[in-house]
Amino acid sequence: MKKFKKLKISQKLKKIVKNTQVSPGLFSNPCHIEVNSNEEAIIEGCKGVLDYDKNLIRVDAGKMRLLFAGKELLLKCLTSDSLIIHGKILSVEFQDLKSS
Amino acid sequence: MLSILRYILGFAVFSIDGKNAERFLNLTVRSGINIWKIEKKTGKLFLAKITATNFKNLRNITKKFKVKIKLKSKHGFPFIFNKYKKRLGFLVGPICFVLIIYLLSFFIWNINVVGNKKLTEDEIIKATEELGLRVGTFKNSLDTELLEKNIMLKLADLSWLAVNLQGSSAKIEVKEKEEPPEIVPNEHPCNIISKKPGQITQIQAHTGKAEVKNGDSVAKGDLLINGFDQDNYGKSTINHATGKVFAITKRLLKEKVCFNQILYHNTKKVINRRSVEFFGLKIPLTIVPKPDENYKKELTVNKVRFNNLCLPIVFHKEKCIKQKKEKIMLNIEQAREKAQENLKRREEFEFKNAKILSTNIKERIENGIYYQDVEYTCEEDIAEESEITFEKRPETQSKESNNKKNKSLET
Repeated sequence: MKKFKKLKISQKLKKIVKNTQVSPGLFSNPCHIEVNSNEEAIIEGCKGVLDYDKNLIRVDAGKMRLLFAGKELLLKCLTSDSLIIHGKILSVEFQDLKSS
Repeated sequence: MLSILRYILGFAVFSIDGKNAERFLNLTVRSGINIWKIEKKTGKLFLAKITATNFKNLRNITKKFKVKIKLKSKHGFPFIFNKYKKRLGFLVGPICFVLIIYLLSFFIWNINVVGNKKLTEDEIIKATEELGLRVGTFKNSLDTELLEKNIMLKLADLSWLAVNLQGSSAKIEVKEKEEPPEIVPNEHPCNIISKKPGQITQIQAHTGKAEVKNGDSVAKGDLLINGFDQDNYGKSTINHATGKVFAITKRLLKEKVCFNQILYHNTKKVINRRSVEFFGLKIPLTIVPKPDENYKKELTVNKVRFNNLCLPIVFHKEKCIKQKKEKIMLNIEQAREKAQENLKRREEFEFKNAKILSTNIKERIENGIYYQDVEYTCEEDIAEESEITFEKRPETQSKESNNKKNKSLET
């Protein structure tokens, strides 16, 4: 019953956000990604690293997975809720957990 | 900045090997341990950096996963300190350094002179050295007030002097005497007289009455513009005469050049003598005897500075170049050229405010010396102010004259 109520509230909030064109990060706490050229990506609000390879890094971003593909990728810094990826980033893919 | 801080705190490079390396990294980070520069190497091997204090805490986390961590290298200041902490010199050295600096702070390290124009810095420093203020003097033994008075007595050209002790340096601030130019004040009456003999070409009398005309010849001291002026009603006024009087003047410059000249050439033989001066004590760094008179000396002094502060260490370098004498005989052309060169240099100084109209050159040779006398005809301002002085009439005479006047009036 409680879960159902929560879902209802969140759906209503989403609707308000959509109608008022307010930034989505205002009410929820989504993942914030900042990309500098194709050399550096700063991810805040993530939950950890799932896969780490020189050519591919998979990051847990809560409701979705982020997939950074590139060359000579390096985790420049890693903290509990943020990380910096350095290297030549070729593509960024968003995987929605619900759809999969 | 962050890398400097990490170096000061110390960091370690370690390897992670195992299946669940990513999970291990996530848990490490969640437990508050920061890791940076995580590199994937071949296979399942990772390399990462961690602060020195946090490395020990990693052991607890590794137990939960099937990963092996291995310390690869250690960097930073704490590791260097640990390496050398058994050596006593590293501890004694800094203590001695601080102690020596503290002891040396009781002495004068350097002397700076500020505000001098005519007097050179060396002249002032030499005077202060004779009175007891020199590099290496014990600061507490100085009586600056007495020293100031004594320096003022010694150097007559100074009007004011202050000795300020700033830390280990003595700053001598001076103010030199300035002699006022001889200008007759505007309120004082004066005439314009000629300072040189010449023939008048142009008169510009701004105030006063011109006493000469164009074409008149005047001697030195002749009256050119009169300060006394009389109007049509016979009323006379005394003014401060001003104006310019241009005249054609003649000047003579003499120059002589000896036919037998000695030229000095630098040879390849060079002797370098170095020495270091520490608190006024000169210590030679090279063991070379003092060269004879045939050497030309070039002295360079390098004061050791640290952050604009002059330290009491001075390096002296004396470069002695051996000279080769060569006697040469000049011909008339060369002697003339040399004399003209010298005259040209003198002309620039002597005829600053004059316009040269013509020159008359006379040459003669006497006793192996070439003489060149040049007579210059110039046009220049010959006006010079001359104050009008009034003499007081003696009181007795004036009284007598008054009595006579009264008597005459009575009769």
